[in-house]
Amino acid sequence: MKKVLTVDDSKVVRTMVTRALAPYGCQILEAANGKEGVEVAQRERPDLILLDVTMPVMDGREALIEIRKAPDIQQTPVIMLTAESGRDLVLEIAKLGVKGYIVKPFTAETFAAEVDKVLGAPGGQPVAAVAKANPKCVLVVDDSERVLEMVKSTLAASAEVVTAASGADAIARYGESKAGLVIVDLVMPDMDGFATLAKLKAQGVSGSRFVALSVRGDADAKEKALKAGFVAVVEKPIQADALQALLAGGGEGDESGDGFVADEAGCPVLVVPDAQTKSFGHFLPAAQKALRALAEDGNDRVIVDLAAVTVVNTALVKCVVEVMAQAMGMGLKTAVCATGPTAKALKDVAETRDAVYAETRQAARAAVS
Amino acid sequence: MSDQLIADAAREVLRTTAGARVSETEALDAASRSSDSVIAVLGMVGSRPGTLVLFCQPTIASALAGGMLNMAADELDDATVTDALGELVNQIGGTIKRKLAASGGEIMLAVPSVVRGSSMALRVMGDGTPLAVDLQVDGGAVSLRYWQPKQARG
Repeated sequence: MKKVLTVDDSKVVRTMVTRALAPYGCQILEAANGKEGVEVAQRERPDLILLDVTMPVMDGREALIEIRKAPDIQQTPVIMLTAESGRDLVLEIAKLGVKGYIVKPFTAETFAAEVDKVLGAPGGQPVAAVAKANPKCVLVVDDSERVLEMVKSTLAASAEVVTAASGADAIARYGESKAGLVIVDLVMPDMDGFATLAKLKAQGVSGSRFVALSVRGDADAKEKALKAGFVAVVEKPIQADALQALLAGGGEGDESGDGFVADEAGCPVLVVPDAQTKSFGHFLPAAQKALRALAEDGNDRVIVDLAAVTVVNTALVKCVVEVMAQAMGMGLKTAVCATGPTAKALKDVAETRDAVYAETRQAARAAVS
Repeated sequence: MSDQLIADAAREVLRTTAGARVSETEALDAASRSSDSVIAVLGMVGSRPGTLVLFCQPTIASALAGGMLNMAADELDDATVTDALGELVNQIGGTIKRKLAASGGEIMLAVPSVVRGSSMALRVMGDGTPLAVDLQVDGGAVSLRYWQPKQARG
């Protein structure tokens, strides 16, 4: 049985953590301050430490320094669980090495997303066992030799391009390449794009984005593709700049986080997918991961781009609120790129009312510069 | 610092951490308050120094603590309720800090302290009238007051 140590001066928080960890079936150890926490960690060798920052006797920052100095426990994964989230503190703690940062108040989903990284999902496989996609590799699947050649020649300079002339061929090529971007023609003999998508996803590679190729103007096919799990649809005849944008991550999101991040003249952009797409379900944890990476890389600003959003619902608002809270909590200057009903709906919500809004990425970039 | 900022932070924390249904309420005058109170005090230092105080009736404090722990209010002892109120004001302070950081404000939080009793008067070493936020939760009101030194205003 795995052991988790929760270090917090609030008994209530330790109890909340204990309850939140119940699905993981682990043994819970408790400490009321950093000094106690280090002692318990050295004695019990936990598999994970959840560490508050502001505590009497010894605070979480000092405790983390002690943990990283102690040979027996210095490799123990630590997740900070705290109301303290200033940029300088986050950067200092990031340098000391932590697996995650949960900002209070936290939702059960946020908590699970961080803890899963260390303990694995409850009842599931450890996260580390999942194969990761290769973001530098593109697999294009089409029965047209002309299309395969076009994609290959367009992207060859910036990615490794693997081609497959059928769904069956794609399954083998994907297993070998674990391509981060997979472009699949919807209409192919023997195995169409939808069946091919299902077979490829069944391989369980984490982080791939699947984009459909469709004939121009086929709205039904586009809608069906997005519902099936493609994150975007590119129409034929294919435009070179559309392919380049997909490779840059400006199209839609993926499951790893990398694909949700684009760039606006040197300013990072989080691209929020439409809440009706399947990729939306992966967005929040991926965005949280991306924000941590941005902060750790020394970025001081980010644009949250909602241009792809067509429907504003509770899930979207909640997601944007969480992303904004984390971005601001990490000291990132944040601007929301949204127009029309999307902007209006967010301005009606207390948590996003005071955000900086802009109608274009360029204006958003200027707002955070 | 503004009453809107404090209200937004308090709503977020009360909903997310305590699972409370929160709405605005009219500002409470002193006479309408119960003589029994639980008071949580959080000091803030930095570019926006001040003192944030959260107070409510003991029954409301128990209900909030119960919401945090998913337990019935009458299952909780006083120490747990006191601890819970301290955690709530700490999280509200942390959320204010996060929101202020977006506009360049930097504050640090002290460890909260909580007292409970009857016929208490609250006096904070600040100037004048505090920012006041009163929120309605099931069964009563949660009140927040924020005092800041005169030289920090503006």
